[in-house]
Amino acid sequence: MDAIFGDQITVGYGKRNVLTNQSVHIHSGQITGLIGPNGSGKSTILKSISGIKPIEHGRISVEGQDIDVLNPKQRAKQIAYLEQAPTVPGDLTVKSMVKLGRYAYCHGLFGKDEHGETQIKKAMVEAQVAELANRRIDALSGGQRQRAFIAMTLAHNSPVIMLDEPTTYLDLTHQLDVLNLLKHLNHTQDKTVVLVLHDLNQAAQYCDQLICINEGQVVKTGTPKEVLTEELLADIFQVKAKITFQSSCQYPQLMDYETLVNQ
Amino acid sequence: MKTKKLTWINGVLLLILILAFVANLCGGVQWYGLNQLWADPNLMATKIMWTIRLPRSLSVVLVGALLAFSGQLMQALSKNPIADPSILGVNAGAMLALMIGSLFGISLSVFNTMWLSICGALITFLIVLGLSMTKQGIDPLRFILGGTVFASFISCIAYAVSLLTNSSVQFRNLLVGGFSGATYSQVELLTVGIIVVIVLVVVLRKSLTLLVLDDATASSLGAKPGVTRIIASLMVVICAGISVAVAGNIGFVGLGIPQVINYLHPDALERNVVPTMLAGGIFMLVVDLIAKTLAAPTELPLSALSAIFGGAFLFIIVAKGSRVTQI
Ligand SMILES: Nc1ncnc2c1ncn2[C@@H]1O[C@H](COP(=O)(O)OP(=O)(O)OP(=O)(O)O)[C@@H](O)[C@H]1O
Ligand SMILES: [Mg+2]
Repeated sequence: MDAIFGDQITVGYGKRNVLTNQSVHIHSGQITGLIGPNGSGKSTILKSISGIKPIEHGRISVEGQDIDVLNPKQRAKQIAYLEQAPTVPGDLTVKSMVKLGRYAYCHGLFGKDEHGETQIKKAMVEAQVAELANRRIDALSGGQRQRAFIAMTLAHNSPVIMLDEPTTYLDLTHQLDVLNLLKHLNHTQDKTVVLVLHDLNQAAQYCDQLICINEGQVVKTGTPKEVLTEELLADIFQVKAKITFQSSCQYPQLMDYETLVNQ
Repeated sequence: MKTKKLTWINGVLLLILILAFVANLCGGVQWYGLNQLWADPNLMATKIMWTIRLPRSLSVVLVGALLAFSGQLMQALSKNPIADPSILGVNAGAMLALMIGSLFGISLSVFNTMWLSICGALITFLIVLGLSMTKQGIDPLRFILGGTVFASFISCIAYAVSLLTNSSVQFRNLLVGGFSGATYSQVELLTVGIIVVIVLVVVLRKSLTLLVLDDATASSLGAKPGVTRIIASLMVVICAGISVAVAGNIGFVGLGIPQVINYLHPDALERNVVPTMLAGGIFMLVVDLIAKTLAAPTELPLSALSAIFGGAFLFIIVAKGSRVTQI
């Protein structure tokens, strides 16, 4: 079954619709990548299917259930979402920020959260920020900060995790660390992961499914092999590239790419 | 480890608060010992202690706590470290409402002062919010700039009103701020206010903490940022309104105190509420003590003293740079 199904959704800002009648299927237990040029509507889709941005028309269901019947806390327990550029006050410590990720689980007058400490510790270890626990956010590098945000997102302990460009600001090792962590969570805990990626080679390598978006339209959905074709790269990204398959792996890789625009 | 540090800070602050309270109680035109409280009730000094000094010291602590907390909330609300109800014109609005009300013949009983100043605070706050609204929500920069301009505008009107109607003596306490003439009914009013605020904080503290995040992040965590913002705004209005009703327009407490606490103990809002309130009380006790003793028998204007300290804080904050981080 689909973990998330956005059925004919229309969504926009003010009077302008960014997406009109678009449908997206997010398969349970898979890693889905959203790809597409800047401004194509990836963040907008992610925000609406995570239930944060209200949609104009259409329906979003979570595990077959309409998202509107969930209250915000119930929804947050189902879906964790990390924004592309979150704003947090710099004088919070990493640990107190990760703790905010447990908001949905705090209940009662005293905000009791039975598994809070364990989940917070676990999330910080997984996102490799445990040793930064008592550092202030504004005393971190861009990459460390990004990992702290990821820890906050993991603290939800939700079956679905959505991340908008989680690898920006990270050096190559830490990009791979994040992707490997998501892969690991997907393998061991069967988490459904949705992420926006700009590196198409990484998208091909780590995702089970890719959704390509262009100018507010879902132009192609399928396995990396189905989606990443030389035609699509030329059409959508204006990039001329050779797609190759290394003997040992299943996924396509871009080779010798260059822009088509100046030619 | 973390909680230990907080307990420690709270303990130390409480101790200082008690000392500052005793000093404030004993200080004045003449210094009296604490034992004067239990001396012969017919003695002048004992009477002064009970009927003038004690209600004053109690008002001072409560107003300090309320103002510091309202600043803390305002900073979370506007995601801006230099927000404070006095900067944003909320205090000035409450003050103007009191002046206009009394000029129209409403007697300034404790109850009337309370609702007048809360209404004034609410109206100015709504105007400032309206000025800073964009399609995406509150624009922090417009909030501060619009608020500051509007605050001086309102203050000017207040001064003009008092000059034109020859009532600056009558409104001296309001205009320059001060606790002389504090009564037990004012203490009761403040106590009710602080209890309301504390109950709201206890019930809503998790949501209030999330105010510092942007709306998308807060709602992804399961919060309802819109609703929380409205409640928090009302809390600011109550705190600032009743403070002005009792002590006039005192600025900068709400600005500096939360900053200092956050510097000493960077943590989520909910855990810094108590130390912020304690420190606000201490600050106000000390400033008030200086105001009433330094040039005794003349009382120094409290708002000016508070502004001197507050201005110094503001300078340090600006010099240190903004604390809002955007990745
Ligand atoms: N808050 C907003 N108000 C108005 N228009 C917006 C807003 N956010 C995005 N848009 C517009 O919606 C369209 C889609 O934006 P979106 O952020 O979804 O793109 P994206 O694919 O995530 O791009 P990027 O790769 O740059 O992050 C763009 O044309 C953008 O200008
Ligand atoms: Mg985006």
